[in-house]
Amino acid sequence: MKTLLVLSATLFATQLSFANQCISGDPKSTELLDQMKAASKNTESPAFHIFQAYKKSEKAEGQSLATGVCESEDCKVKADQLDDLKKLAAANDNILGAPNLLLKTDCLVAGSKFKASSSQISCPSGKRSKNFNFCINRDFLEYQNSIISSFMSCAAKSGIKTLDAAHLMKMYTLESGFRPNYAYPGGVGIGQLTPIFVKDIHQAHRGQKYLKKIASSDSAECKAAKVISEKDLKKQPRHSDNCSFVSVGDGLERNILYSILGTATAWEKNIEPKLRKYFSKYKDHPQLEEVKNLALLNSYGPTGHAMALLERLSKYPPDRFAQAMKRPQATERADLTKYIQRIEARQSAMAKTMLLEPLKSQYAKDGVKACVN
Amino acid sequence: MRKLITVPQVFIIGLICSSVALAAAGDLQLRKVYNDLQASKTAFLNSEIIKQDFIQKFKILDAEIKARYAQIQILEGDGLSIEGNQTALDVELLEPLRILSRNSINKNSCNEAQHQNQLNASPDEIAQLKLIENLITKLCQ
Repeated sequence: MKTLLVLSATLFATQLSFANQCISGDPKSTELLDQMKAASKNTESPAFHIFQAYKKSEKAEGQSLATGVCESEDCKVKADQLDDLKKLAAANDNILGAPNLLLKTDCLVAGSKFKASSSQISCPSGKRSKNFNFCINRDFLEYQNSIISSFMSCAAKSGIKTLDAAHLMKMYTLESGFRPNYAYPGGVGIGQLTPIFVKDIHQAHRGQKYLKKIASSDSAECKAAKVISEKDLKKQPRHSDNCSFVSVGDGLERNILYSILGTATAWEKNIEPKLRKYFSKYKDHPQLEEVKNLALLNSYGPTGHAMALLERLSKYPPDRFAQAMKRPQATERADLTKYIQRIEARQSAMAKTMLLEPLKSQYAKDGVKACVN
Repeated sequence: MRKLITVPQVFIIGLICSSVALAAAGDLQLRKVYNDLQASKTAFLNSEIIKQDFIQKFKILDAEIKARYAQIQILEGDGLSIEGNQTALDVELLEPLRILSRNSINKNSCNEAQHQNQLNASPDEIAQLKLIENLITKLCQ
């Protein structure tokens, strides 16, 4: 029994050591990791509820215990450490009781290996620099996965139609590579939100109803999203205050919630009315969901371009529609599918060079669905 | 040598030539419809429109653009032409003005129109978007 515990502690500690290594960024720049740790203990932060729901608090406890145990040479267990290991085992049991993460964290790990040329921002100071290179580790990516899972569950529970988790992952992989501190005046954070995108969510005739819906929700799935919605309905965050969309514990979470609600707004106000007859005509077509998700993804760019593309492709059945969305569709001065093409190119590069086996083979076979739990 | 080109071959070559000629004629016709549409739209956006005339004049333009877009769609058949893509985009970019023409011009419709124009913002259409923005500002004064 003792040997088994030693082995399990050693194995777990090895995994932890891997989990805490920087996947990207400078190991000394722990700003994001420190913010995550502090936010998880702040009962007023949405992070607290996400940690609670996804049992990350117990996991963190387990990790600190295991790390403590394995600081000694050869990870030898002493008799007085057995109690700690029992707690660790109990913590692991609790993790098993947590809701599933929607995405495979390995896909987020692969997506985070791309670099952007924009500056990163340090919060709360708001100082921007190309020299900032904050450490992102597996724990942090798993936390981002937890936020996505929490808010997507809330959206589903509230009957809010938005991008599915796989396409949301595609979008973040392109926009920021899950490094949420990229910021420039045009785009900020994990979803690289623009000022007009943020404004859209607060318009009475556009996205505000979703904030209100979540703020009034009593659903357990919406606990974390509710904290942000209530706060933002009282005082709209300014895009120019980039940290409101970046800081871990409030901003990163807001950024993800807004990405989800922004695409939900595009669905309700633009896409669904435009393609209502089309959706009805092809309601049983196996590729209709792909068309819907591509339309939602494309709506992340300028609305006019997105709607023009839907208008153009609606003469085709869903299989041809989806194919045409991934090919150039030129206008006199632009390309209506440029955003989708960039998304697909990034996914292709990720699948070829960043994913590890067996996920790599699975992705080659099933596409981005391989990244969904 | 005389047997090099047979009757069926002449027929096929003739068919190809006439198809190419028809396609070229179709392309020319499509381009003409497109150019006429662009001319009408540009003239409207650059004209001195006053609030009282706007709704009537815009509805005429909107109907004309949509009719020409329908012509383009017939001419391009199953394919997708640059002209068709651009026209579909132009139709969408005029949506803020459509909002104003559908409702009376008041604070709400003005805010909605301005917001829609901002949602359409794109570097490749900046000139057209600016003209629309100027028109909204003028009408909403």
